[in-house]
Amino acid sequence: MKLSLEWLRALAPQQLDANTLAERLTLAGLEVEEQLPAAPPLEGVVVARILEATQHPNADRLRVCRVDAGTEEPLQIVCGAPNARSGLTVALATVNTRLPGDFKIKKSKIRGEVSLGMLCAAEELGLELPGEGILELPDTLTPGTPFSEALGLDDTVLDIALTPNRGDCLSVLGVARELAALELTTLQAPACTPTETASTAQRMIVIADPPDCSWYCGRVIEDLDPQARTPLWMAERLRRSGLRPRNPLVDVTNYVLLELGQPLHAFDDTCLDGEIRVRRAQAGEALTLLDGSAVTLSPADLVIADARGAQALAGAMGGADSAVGDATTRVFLESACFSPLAVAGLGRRHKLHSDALHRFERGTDPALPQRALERATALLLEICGGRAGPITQAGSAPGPAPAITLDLARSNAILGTAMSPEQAQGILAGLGCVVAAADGTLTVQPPSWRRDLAIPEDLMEELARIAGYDQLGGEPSRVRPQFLIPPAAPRQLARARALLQGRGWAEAQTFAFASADAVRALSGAEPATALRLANPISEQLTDMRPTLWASLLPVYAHNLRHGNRDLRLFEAARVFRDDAADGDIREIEMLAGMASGRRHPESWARGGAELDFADMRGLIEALGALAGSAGPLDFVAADHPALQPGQSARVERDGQPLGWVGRMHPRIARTLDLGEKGPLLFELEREALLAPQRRPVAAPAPYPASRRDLSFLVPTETYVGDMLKHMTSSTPVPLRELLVFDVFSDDSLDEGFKSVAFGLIFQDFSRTLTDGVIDDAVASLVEGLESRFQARLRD
Amino acid sequence: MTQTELSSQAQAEIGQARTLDELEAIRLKYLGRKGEITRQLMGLRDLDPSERKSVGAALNQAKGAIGEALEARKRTLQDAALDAALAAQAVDVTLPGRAEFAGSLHPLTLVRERIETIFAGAGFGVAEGPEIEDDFHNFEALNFPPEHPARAMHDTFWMADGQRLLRTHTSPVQIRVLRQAEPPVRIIAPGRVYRCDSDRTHSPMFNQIEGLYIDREVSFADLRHDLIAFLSAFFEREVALRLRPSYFPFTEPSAEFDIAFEGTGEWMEVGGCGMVHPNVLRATGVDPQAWRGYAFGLGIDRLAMLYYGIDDLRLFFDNDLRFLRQFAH
Repeated sequence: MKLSLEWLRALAPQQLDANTLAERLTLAGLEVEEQLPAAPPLEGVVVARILEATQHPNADRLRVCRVDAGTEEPLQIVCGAPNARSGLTVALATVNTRLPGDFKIKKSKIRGEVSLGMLCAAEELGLELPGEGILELPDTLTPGTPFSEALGLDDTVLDIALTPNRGDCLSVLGVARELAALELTTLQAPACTPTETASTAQRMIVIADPPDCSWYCGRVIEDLDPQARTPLWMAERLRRSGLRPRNPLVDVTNYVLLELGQPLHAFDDTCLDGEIRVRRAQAGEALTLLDGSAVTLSPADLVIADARGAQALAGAMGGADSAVGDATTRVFLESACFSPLAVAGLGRRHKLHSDALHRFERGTDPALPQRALERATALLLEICGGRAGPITQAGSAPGPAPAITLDLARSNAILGTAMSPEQAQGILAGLGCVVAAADGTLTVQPPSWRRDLAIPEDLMEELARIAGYDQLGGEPSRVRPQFLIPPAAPRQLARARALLQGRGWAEAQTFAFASADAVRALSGAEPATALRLANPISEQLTDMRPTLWASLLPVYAHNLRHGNRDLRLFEAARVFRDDAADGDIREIEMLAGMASGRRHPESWARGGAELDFADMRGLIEALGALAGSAGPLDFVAADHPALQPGQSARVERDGQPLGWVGRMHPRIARTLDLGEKGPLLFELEREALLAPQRRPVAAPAPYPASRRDLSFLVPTETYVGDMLKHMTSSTPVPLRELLVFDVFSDDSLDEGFKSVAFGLIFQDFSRTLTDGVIDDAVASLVEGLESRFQARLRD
Repeated sequence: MTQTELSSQAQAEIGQARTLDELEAIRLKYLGRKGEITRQLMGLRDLDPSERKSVGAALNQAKGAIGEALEARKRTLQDAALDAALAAQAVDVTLPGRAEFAGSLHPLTLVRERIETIFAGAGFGVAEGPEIEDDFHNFEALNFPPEHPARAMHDTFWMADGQRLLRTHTSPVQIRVLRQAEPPVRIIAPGRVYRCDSDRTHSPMFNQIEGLYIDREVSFADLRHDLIAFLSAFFEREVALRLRPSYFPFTEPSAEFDIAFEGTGEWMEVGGCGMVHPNVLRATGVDPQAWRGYAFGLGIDRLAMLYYGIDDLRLFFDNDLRFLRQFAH
């Protein structure tokens, strides 16, 4: 909300500078977001009066004016505005003035006539005011007076961000009341003196459903002067509040809205037929609004209707048919209190917003309609003349608000304050409450405009707020120690992160929404509609990711585009799947990575080998080992739509799938512009991968270990993993360690075969294994491999 | 040749020896079984007993001196041999090491861990909740009536079904925790939250941390104190905190809190807080007459921006390696 300090001071006289005022309001909960000058600097612009305006000898559309600018001699100014006439009081930009837009006024000759300045239109002064041609000023101003001074432009506009509970502050009066409560001023509320009725014209009002509208006041005013103009002071106050002045009828309703916080609506009374009904719309009822939009109504909408149908969307916007215009001479003025529930959702349904709706949604002062109507009547009659009819109404002003009982001891305990009953009573009374105190208990009746005060806690906030939150006690906190079992999952995650970091991986944090294309490419399935956003922020961020790969992909691509190489990116975050048993969405904590480039930094000391599948597998095994004695991970050769066949494995533990590792399918990599060779990928269910199991601790075996190396020829397609599993499960004596120390295939071998060399380390916990025992064990293992895998022992 | 002359001659030869082999030859020449000193010692018995004693003493002295000289020279030659061997093994220590790529943790992770550590020290456990929420947990149970303008403060992402939504704050975790735990309750709930908003200081997804403390005696002043204590620990300096009255449907009284920039003294908003609204306690089955508490929510990303001096939130989510690698510490 934009608020002119000049206007505020009219209702709340005080001399605080803008900064102090902004600070005090902010610390009272009315956050001043910005302070703006009321007008651009207009040094050199003065009030002037046209003494004589004559036709320019050489130009049909120009006039030569003799202008009194407060100087000894009148100045000659050439002006092209059609309203430049003698006697008019105007704004003169004298020579050397800089106008907004860095427009410098120079002494000039226009078609042969000297011109010592420029008579200004409002927009040339950076002011949005009504009227055509040059700005017409009141005749009461003295020529020579600086323009800024004459219009009080040395003013600051505060932009206040109000929280939705403080609808009562959406007016100059509301903010002035706050200043009074803070004891910074004595409130000077505008007089709302009843106008004497000078006409019998009236319109009856019916409220169909009282909860929709507690009070509706209306009045017909006739014989308004359509030639009347909004006075400059009012236009200026509206302008500084961010509203564009239009015509006196609209301007007066806006003025009262801003001044008192009561939205008003002026109907062209000649367009209304019969009594006014506040009722719910019929399904399908049509209405064209002031802004030209046609809306189709439903019973959710509250309307103001006459005998012919809906004429306005109650509390939001008038209809085009009954709108006032430049020729209107007779109006029906509405001042009502619509319930917030009756207008709730209206803005969303019809995609509209208005200053009136903004206030009704937050709740207006239910006691205000009649006073506001009187205020508007007085202003309108002052500007446009006319005769006011009697006020007609339906509903009524509210009774006294229910009292709230405040236990001051409890309030002090909750706030951590030591407020006396007198202090508390003073603060609440200052806010307009009626307060009675007895035995440390306050009985508080909030004022009609504070609809947000309903329970004792609301009053506690008021006490703390007006006293100042910075006055809260400085005693040590009463938070007592608490001892917690260290949770496993965060620690495991921290260890996994440290492991990845130690191996050169960089952690990323990405948005949880991804593009449908990325999801499709990397999950191999159509994105689930259940995971689609109704209102995505962009076309690229439409779907909640079912895989972290969909989020890492744009990060990977971004880095490639920026020339970064040897990428190793990982993320620990959630993915979303719509596959829960109850049809709900599952959120799964995942750990995923995307990598490419060299295994080690380029160096004199190492070759330039590229990362490959075995690097990924080694990494995942190291991560899996963080889970302590949980079983080893299995890597099962299997196809995944996003992964290159033959370089793709499902990771499992004890038969339970944990995720995938592999290389991105080159076809996908090409489509995504990631080069010929896709990056390596992994994604694993983090909690299952890392869930720690404590390992029983054993002393080192006292008996020696023996190693035997065996080298086999096996068919190329044999999975070495199967051979390892076979040996582990069939060894007759304990195999402490089993390693694969060489795998190769070349021309020296039979075609279709590869050589695999194993290191077998035997060790028993209860005896020394003799050569004989080990020889027998090796023989039985060799026999098993030979029969199962067509393996041939090499010499 | 006297024993003394013999000794000097031997020591001179020892000094000349260049290798351990030469030294051994000298030892044999004098002290070996057929060596000069050995031979003369054997000859003692042929001497007159009156001479035997003095000659013997001189011979033994010469033998000792030669032996010591041999040992000393041996050490010298061994040291030299080791030096030579080591020189041959010397490496160029100025060559770059056999390095690995430097990994890094995301700054938001580092800051979140820092916050969690500080609160863990004060006895706050960590709780989590889903990111795809329902209206009940995100709004209704937090005292947001349907169609209330307070909902417009949250630019909410809705799922296509129009029912579910992306949580707009971490406060729904308050509801989930209070519905299952008995007070006293003390938790923080870090996590991702979503608002339909994007510019230099707003990201459609960002990280918040919720704090909740419910006990029998806890006050708004405790809240203020604990926030100052936490922020001072986080920034390792005495932080000036400003509580501004504000409005959240789920707290009463409510405040936003700002901290002052070092140097300029300008205020920057870092979060919102307040005393848990009785309606929230009631909605979760906690008796508001018996229990009360405070809650706060603060922006991890905001704290990270202040902590690292970063003025563009988007850097965190671009994940450019040139940015990320600066967090390798």
